Amino acid sequence: MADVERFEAELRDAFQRAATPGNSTGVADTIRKRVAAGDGVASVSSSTPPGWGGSGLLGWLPWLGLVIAAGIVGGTIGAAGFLGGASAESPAGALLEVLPQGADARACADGPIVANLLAETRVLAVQRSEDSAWVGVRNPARIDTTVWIPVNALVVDDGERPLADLPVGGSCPLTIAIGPAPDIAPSADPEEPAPGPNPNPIPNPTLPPGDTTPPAVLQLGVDVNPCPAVVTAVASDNVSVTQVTLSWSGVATGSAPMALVSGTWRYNYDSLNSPEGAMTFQAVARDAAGNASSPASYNAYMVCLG
Amino acid sequence: MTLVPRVQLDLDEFVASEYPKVVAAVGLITGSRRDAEDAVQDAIVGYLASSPAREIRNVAAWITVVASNRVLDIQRSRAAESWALAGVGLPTESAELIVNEPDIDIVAALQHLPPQQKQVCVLHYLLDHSVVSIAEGLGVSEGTVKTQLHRARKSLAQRLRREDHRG
Repeated sequence: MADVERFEAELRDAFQRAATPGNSTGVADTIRKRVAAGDGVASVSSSTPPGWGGSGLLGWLPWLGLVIAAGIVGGTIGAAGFLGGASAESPAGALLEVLPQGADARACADGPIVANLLAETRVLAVQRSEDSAWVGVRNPARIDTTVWIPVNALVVDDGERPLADLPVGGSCPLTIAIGPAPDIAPSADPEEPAPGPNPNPIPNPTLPPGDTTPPAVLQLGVDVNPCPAVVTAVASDNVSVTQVTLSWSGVATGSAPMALVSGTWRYNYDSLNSPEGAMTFQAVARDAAGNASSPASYNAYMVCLG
Repeated sequence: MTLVPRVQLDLDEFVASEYPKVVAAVGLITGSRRDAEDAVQDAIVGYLASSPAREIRNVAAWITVVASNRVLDIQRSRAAESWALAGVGLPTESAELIVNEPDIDIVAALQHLPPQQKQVCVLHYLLDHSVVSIAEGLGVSEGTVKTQLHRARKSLAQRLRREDHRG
């Protein structure tokens, strides 16, 4: 116990030494002016991307946190009629709140997961699926897009417009049941083919002709806390992602196919029996037509702490 | 769903007493002092301009987490942008945050923690917020905060002690 207390004291000292306090001069006035000007959705800088992230992965809280913040702001503004844009799609949306367990957000009703909404995120509903099982809500961080959430993951505000009155939408364009390729053996060669459309796609009569749109790896993350470490990726495609291949380099090299688990591609990296050190992971997604995504990269210091 | 009244925020008092510390905390969590001030101000504006979906009892903790999340998101986007530019042969800005360098001090060690552990750790050890206070600020259980703190301590201890031995 004494060791823990001593270490905690060391941590407090170290944090105090490392911290650089902010300069509060004039900050209150600046904030008042911004609030008065209706500036409630300002981004941190001009480089703030319009897209949002989040895959429901524990290691990706930053994206999720952004969703929380933007969700609260976006929902409130929408309720005040500030969005205006909501009216273009729906004369009046319904304010909803995500239940405590959070919710996966999908590109279309029952489609691929593209993000995750944390508990108590407030969202503005603008559409419903035909069977009313799904609700299309404003993407809190990108108000010109809609994401889809199961209706049972939401609490409808009392007195709000009934969901049944919302316009119908959200059908996924095409769903083809193709699981991850089962026969792909891990390759010792981490090199990936050049990304982009497949110049010689293999004809497949069950697929729409002329699919030259490559998939995209939206997110790649590594949770180094468990042993083995868990590498996760979220990928999307206009038709369907059929395979995501992970490769790694650094203190160890190799590659392996990732497995699709509940909408997320996963791979358990054996950090217990692998050398400790800096590594770069890359994921490449492919669709049934053979189109390959650009690789997504993630740097991590691999160490087995468990 | 009922909107809860937000905790009345005395802006002048908050800025005078909490703002410098919160900016410091966000700078530590994100490794980017440059973006911390902007992000904290944005978070305060957002708090004042909107009604929260739940009662926020620990505004400083809430602002710290929201602001650091925004900066971390930007950092990820910058990294992706740099990577994309590098892929087409365009010059890229060097990333301010380098996560795969060897540990040299508490700041570097901190950057190896998952974001939520960094946030909880800085709130507790820098801002001196109790476990209960952090849980209220983040809207999570005390057990979650304790778990994150335990894991963070374990990771930091291993990294810092190992560095001591190397040094």
